[in-house]
Amino acid sequence: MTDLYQEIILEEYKNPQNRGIIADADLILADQHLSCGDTVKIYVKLDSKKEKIIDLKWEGKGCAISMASVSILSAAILQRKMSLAEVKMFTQTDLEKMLGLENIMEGRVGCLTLGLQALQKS
Amino acid sequence: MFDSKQYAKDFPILNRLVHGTKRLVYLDNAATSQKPIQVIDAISEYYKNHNANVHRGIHQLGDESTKAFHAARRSIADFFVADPTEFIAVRNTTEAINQVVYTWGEANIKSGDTLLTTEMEHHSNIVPWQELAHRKQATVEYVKVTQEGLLDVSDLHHKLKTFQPKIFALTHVSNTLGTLNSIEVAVHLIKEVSPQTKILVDGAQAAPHIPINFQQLDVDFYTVSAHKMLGPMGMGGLFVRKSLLSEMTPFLFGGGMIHEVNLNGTTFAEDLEERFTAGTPDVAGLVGWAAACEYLSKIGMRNLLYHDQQLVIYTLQELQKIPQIHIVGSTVPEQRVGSVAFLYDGVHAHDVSQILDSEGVAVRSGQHCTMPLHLKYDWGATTRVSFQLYNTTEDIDVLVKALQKVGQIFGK
Repeated sequence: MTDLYQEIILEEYKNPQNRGIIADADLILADQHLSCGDTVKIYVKLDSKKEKIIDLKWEGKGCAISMASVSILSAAILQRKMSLAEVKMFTQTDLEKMLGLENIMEGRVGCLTLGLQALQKS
Repeated sequence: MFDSKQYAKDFPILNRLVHGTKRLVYLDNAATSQKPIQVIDAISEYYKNHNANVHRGIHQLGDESTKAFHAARRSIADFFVADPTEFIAVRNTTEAINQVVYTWGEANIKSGDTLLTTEMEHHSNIVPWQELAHRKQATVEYVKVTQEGLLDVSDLHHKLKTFQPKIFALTHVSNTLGTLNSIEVAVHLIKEVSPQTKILVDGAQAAPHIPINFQQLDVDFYTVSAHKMLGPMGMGGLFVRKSLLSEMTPFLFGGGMIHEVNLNGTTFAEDLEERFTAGTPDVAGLVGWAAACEYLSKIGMRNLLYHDQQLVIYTLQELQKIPQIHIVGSTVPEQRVGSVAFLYDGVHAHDVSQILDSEGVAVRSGQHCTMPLHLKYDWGATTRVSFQLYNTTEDIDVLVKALQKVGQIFGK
């Protein structure tokens, strides 16, 4: 499973995209894994109809998988100009594909989906 | 000389490879130990040849099973130097502590009482007390842990004296810090400043490595899990001082634990071995656990403790050579038993253990069910290596080599 730490994950982890905060965010969504101390907080700015995400920043601390996953997810949301409804359709498999993962261990699924779960609370 | 490699041959699982070609280096023993063939065979033999319900089956198998049940109970009690009547079979340490809460606790804890435990406890020795305190409008106080990861004995003295707690619940060995607590000191302090205080010891991490003498320890309750000491999962023990046991009312009701049942009411079995065990017992589990006790006794618990100490010394010494690694808890080997947990600078414990796994090294990462301790020291998560009789210093060398890979991947 060293394959887990391939280029995409290490790159996203070392150079995370969209890290930061939005002072006048419409939504602030947070989640945490108390059993391993991982936390994420996501700031979302919506369009005037409060549907599409026009800006998104996040901060958090955690393992390489959880941080890389939030990073790549944030980039995909902004690139594809996704709506909140579209984010809700996002799945664990979509994340695995984006990060180039196969057969992730059960124990790491929570890491992978930390950011997604926070966003899907909206 | 302690021949780990010879003992390792008794553990079939250690022959398997992981991730294709890697030798399994199993260092997650504080979570659960592997099982020797003697234990696996004892369970299998019971089901193949003797399985029947215990007690009133007036047929040969019923008799064999009943005899196996009593013999196993006796062997386990002997291993802990307890009387069989002082031994209540439960599923695990967690259930044992809950059993104390629901029997002794419900009857004895009143509004305004204090329950005392410590900051280094596993959640299973905190949450049941918090819940009991909540139900009874009692308070839970916690003895502090020092910066070195040891129990603050002066704080214990102070809290015993000030609060006169109804019970003091203490782990024998911390599953995160590896700290070995002196039960003798705790018992002595109680006698001196708060003689009414009962003492419960969580022995889950001690029983696999230390000779336990329930009589000599002179505690009220001692709790253990079979699966951490080479026995099967789903089996554990609560040892209770006999004088207390007769005062306790059962909390699991049903078959097996009764004296007389009428539609108007029921009286309970006088026999203490039956009184607290409602329903069909896990005979195979007891037989397997007894086989584990026998296996450990043959090797000798003193030899096991010596072996564990050698591994603790070597692991501390080798890990401290790695600048990115910070040991959690005491770095004095004699103050530790069973495990060494650490932080790796700039790399999350989950990532550390995942990379170790890729080299066949099985460890544990997270908070190990000791969240208050992790919050106190702001650790986030730690990586823990923990030992058993089949581990060798070569296993630690494989661990150290695999840790270099963490540095390579994360550039730290």
